[in-house]
Amino acid sequence: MPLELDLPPFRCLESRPEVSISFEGRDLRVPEGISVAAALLLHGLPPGRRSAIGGAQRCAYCLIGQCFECTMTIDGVPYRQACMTTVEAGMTVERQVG
Amino acid sequence: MSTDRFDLAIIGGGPAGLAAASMAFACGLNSVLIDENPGLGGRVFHGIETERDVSILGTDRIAATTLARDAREAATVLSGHSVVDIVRDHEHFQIKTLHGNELRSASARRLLIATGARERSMAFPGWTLPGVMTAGGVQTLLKGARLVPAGPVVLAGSGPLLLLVAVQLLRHDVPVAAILDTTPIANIRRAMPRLAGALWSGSVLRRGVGLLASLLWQRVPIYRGVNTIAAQGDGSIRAVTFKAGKRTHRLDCALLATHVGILPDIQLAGLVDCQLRWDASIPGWTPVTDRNGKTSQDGVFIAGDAAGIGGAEAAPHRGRIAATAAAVELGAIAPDEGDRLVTLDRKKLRRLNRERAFLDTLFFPSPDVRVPQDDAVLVCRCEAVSAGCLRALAAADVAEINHVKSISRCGMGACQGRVCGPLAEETLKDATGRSAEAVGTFRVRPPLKPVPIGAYAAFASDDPPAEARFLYTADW
Amino acid sequence: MPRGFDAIVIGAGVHGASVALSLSRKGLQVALIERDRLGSHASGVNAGSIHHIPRIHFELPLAEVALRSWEQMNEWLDDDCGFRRVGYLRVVTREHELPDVRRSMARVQRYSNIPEQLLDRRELDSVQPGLSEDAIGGIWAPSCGYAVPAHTMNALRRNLQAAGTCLFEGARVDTIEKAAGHWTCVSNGERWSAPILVNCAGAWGAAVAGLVGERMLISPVALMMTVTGRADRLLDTVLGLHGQRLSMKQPENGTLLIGGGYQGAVVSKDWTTRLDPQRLAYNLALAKETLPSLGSVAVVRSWAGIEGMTPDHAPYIGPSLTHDGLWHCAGFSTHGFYLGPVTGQLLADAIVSDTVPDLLRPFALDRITTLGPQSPKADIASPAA
Repeated sequence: MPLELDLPPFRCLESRPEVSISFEGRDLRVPEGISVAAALLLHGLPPGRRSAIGGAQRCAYCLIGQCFECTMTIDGVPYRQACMTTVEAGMTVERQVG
Repeated sequence: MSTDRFDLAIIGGGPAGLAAASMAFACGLNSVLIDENPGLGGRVFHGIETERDVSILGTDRIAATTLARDAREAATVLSGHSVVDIVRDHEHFQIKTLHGNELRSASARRLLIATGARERSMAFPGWTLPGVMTAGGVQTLLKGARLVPAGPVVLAGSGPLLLLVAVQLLRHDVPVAAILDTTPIANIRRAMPRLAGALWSGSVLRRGVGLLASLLWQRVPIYRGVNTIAAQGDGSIRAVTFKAGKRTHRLDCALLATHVGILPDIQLAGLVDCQLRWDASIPGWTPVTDRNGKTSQDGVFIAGDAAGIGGAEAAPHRGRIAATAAAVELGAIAPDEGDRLVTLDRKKLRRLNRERAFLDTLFFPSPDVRVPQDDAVLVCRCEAVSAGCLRALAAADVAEINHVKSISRCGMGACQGRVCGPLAEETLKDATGRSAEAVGTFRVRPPLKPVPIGAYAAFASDDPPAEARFLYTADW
Repeated sequence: MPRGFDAIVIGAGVHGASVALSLSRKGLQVALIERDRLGSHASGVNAGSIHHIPRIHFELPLAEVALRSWEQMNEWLDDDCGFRRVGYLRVVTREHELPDVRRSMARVQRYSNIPEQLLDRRELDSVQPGLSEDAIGGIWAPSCGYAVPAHTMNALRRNLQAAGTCLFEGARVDTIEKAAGHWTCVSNGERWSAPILVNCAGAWGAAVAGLVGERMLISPVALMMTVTGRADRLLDTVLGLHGQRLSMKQPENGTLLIGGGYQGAVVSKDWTTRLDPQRLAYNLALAKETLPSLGSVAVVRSWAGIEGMTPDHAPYIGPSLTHDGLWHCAGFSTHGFYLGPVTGQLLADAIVSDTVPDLLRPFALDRITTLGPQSPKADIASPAA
């Protein structure tokens, strides 16, 4: 399963101070204060689970905490909503099957 | 584990909850405002507290920053707290919240639910592909993280938000390939008698006309009477196909944003067993409330869109009215004083309701938007349950939605039916001809958001509960 | 005019459905009357553990037959009902319980042929890795496992349809009359009539018996269950704890089901259920203590179902003590699901032949009068606090 999302990266309209997070072992510089889902979209990486049924890569759909498509393992805890979780320096983010 | 005690717990920091917090303070209540986002503002005013330059935002967002500032002074604010469970414990509601990976607890004598609205989903072939998002989601990224997608973007569906998002994207140089309007042509005729009343009562319609003019000026193609939408692509969306009139079209795009109106967020109302009714004008399930937002459950009030779609402009008024009613119930103020405090709010609401009636009629979603047409389309994204699977159950006379859930797993995923609920209900109604009441709605089970077992463990007492009645079970 | 049948079964849980199916297949015209929906209470919402309970010795012979019946579910229902023979492991964490463990195993050996082995810590690890350091051993019963309740009830529904059983859902029987050797059940103006009446009303069993003036002691309790999101394979068996309340399993879809008999509350007004957050938290804490890797697994849903408890925690099965043509099969006290299909088949045989087989004899209703202290309120809605 490739890491890159087949979706052109989003861009940020503001320049903000950055923090480092780790996504599947790779270091990312991301603007502070934004959600994990936004941070990954900015890098063209998939903020979403892989479906346990069929294995398809899903991607954040509602971005308001309703759809649970963006559930990820954050700091070792699965089923956390990437759209509702703010990035923090040193945070580890991994994809989960769900 | 210590529990903070309050007179009133307001859940949801959108316009209704913010206004309610200030009013509760004015009435002398000690209240707590709980919201799952990192900052206040709710969904409609998402990111309002971190806005760098409010001057570019327009008057409503400036007013919302004031609401948020006042609310912070009026109540204990718990941001980043998701309410996962509420139980009644004699005269108090015990509210359990998840903050990061930790469970916390607060208690209050009255509950005011102001959790706003959720978007109705439109399910079509390819809607689970990365690159298909709700228009509200695209807007949330813009408001909070200040993110915009790469283009070209296609927007599909019906309602004012669609136009607003299109204009906002264009303002930030994101190419918008087209707007696919699914509004049934017949709705326009039906809504016309309500137009005059609406024009003078609210601002949504006037703004909508402005947005439409802006899109036409920028030559964004708008297709009318659109149906049979499908997202095309392999790893993610590459194009969207659809029918407008008799012609089939195909447009390349990097993002498809959909919006077919909003529904009350009924998770909390369902959790605390508030009576719901089917509101045919939305159409959707809505909590039963009186004019003060009081529900069928003692001590529970609902305000704003969570009590029935009224829009962001109406929400603060509804929040103030409900907070005042809670204060009267708690004996903090006299009933006639309560009436006096909200006289203006009631007047404003009556005016806004006229516009709402027009909008509901104009943007009433067509059956082919509410019911996935293709059997292969997934209704439940979490458990991958297709429309065809639901229709097969309906054909075998299994059409009560909680029964369907137990057999098909539709609605058993982490979203607990927030997304698939309305789609599944409409599919079952359409397949059987049964009423909304006969099909029902998903029972809400705690926790409302996934909670790590470790968080419960930290919350547990060391001693086993006294269970004198039996020792061993087999089935359970 | 009432609709005439050969037999009426009240309650479409696993017992009522199984009895009704067996009677229908014997050629009887059967009306199966259900207050809510087939399988909507305990039968459909329990955790589906398929294992015996050593404490109740007179149930062990029936348990042995029941365990075998799940292996053969395909032959009976053309559906495996999700049964998986993954074994049942009852972990022992306290040294002082070893004598009780041996007594328990001796009882199972004396009254049945259900295989059980005592495992030491090393053997425990080979059956179930990752257990807490406190685990010193365990009882391993390889012929046990789990089935999927909702799946099972749906299979029963399909078979009832095929067998021509008349299922009436949403029908709450409020009156039962007897005249000229025929029972007539009335629900909201609808009437059904038959010479044979079978009470399979579960937690509502005492209330149904009460309609014909027969006393039965069944009190409702709400038992809580929790399901998690999908997790990596953490659990290979159905897991319990000796001397403590815990039960967990991880079906093939990767979610974990956690319970063990923790009570919520039954709302006396309408018999809806409420969860008890403190007990639920303890249940989950004990699960994590037993299998520490559960700590980060996410709970997605908890619920409670209504179960009917008898004073000695064994069911009432057999003919009425007061009326001819009336049979009872209720009060399974948290072990009704795994016993359900085979009990239903045996009871149908008993009804048709009018002879109670040895396996069911110990559950006769005259047990009530020989029992010790009973709550006078036990037969009405009195949720345990």
